[in-house]
Amino acid sequence: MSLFSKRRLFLKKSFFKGLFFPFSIVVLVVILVLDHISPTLFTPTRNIILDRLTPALTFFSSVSSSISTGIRSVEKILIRYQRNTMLEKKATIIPLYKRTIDELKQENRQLRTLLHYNKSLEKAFITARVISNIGGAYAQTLLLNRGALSKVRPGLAVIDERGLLGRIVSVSANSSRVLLLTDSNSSIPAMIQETNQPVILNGDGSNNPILTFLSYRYAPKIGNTIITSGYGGALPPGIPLGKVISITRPFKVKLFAEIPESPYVRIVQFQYTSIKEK
Amino acid sequence: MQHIFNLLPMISCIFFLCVTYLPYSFAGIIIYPPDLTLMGIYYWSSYRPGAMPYIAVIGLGYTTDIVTSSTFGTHALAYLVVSIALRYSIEQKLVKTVFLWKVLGVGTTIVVYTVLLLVARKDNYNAQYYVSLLLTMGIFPALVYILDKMRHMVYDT
Repeated sequence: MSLFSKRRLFLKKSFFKGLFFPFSIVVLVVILVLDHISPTLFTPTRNIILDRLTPALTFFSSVSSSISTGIRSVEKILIRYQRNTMLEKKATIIPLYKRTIDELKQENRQLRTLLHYNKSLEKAFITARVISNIGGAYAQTLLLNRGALSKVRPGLAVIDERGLLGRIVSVSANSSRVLLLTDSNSSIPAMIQETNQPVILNGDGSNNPILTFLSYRYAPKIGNTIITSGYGGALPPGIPLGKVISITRPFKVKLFAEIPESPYVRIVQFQYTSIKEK
Repeated sequence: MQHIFNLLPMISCIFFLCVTYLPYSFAGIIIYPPDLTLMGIYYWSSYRPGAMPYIAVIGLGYTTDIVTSSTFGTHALAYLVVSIALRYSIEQKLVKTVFLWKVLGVGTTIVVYTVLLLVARKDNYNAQYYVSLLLTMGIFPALVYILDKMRHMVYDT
């Protein structure tokens, strides 16, 4: 009964201080509506504050990632033995594959020379640390501790060792935000690797994005691999995205890289250099 | 020294904010953590309202919005409404016991999450979001216990 009695006196004095509450709530609602209407309106403000927060978030994320890594390493040790046995068997076939690859490379080079084809894609990688998790229902994004000062720009692809995670959507001096493939705003030009059929991989908020712009005649099969197509120059071609898990509409895709397993990801800086006319 | 002690609620809430939005993932499963900042604001608005002014609550809300990339003002508004509603209910003697206070905490959490869901894009709903809501409510008594200990240690009241 007497739990809050000491504080009531303070609250009685401070609660109705003029028009503070209605005014502040109106201001907050106005800001909220403005940001809802024009999401880029407050981007500079966000970036400035985010730059100040980045060092603290980097510190805390390094602590949490150490704990995550510790737990994961125990798990890895347990499955390592099984994997080693499997790899020993596979290793016997590798020389055969290598010879085939060398032959194909040689053939590819000869064909390019014949066609005077000189379109090349220069890639460089920037390693960045993930400093914040997915924002729940609001947006499926990640925050990285590399920004414009590290030559990160919007549109760049973000990958880990398994495949594409998403694209950079906003950049401040020392941080950048990645829009994940699962976000409902994400649309990636992709293709079905087995049939070369171009598709668009759209996020829908769930863990499994969907394939759109796909004709009924070219319905994918379960297990088909989806990769980036590189159409429009938006992303480098050939980055693995996921596997088809449903053959009825909407065609769902199980992503190879749903969330980053390690605290580090790679930002792909890519640029088409030159296209020589025949 | 008292001035430094008065910063404790704010510092603890900033710490909660940083901890809440760290990138956790264990064994490939992403964890949507409970909203510790909301609970911190709720607790300190009850016990140390003078050390948790509205401007600080708004600031924490905006910082959360920036980190989570949610619509600017969503959390700021939710946290401010929680703070005002809580202080009003205490001032009007609507909350008389610790039990009622905890029930109000659970109710507040549900309301805040509902509001956040309404503001968030509808097509981004997913099951993990409700895991976060349940975790927030589930972890609340444990957090209250820790903050009680901390409060008694620092303020001795």
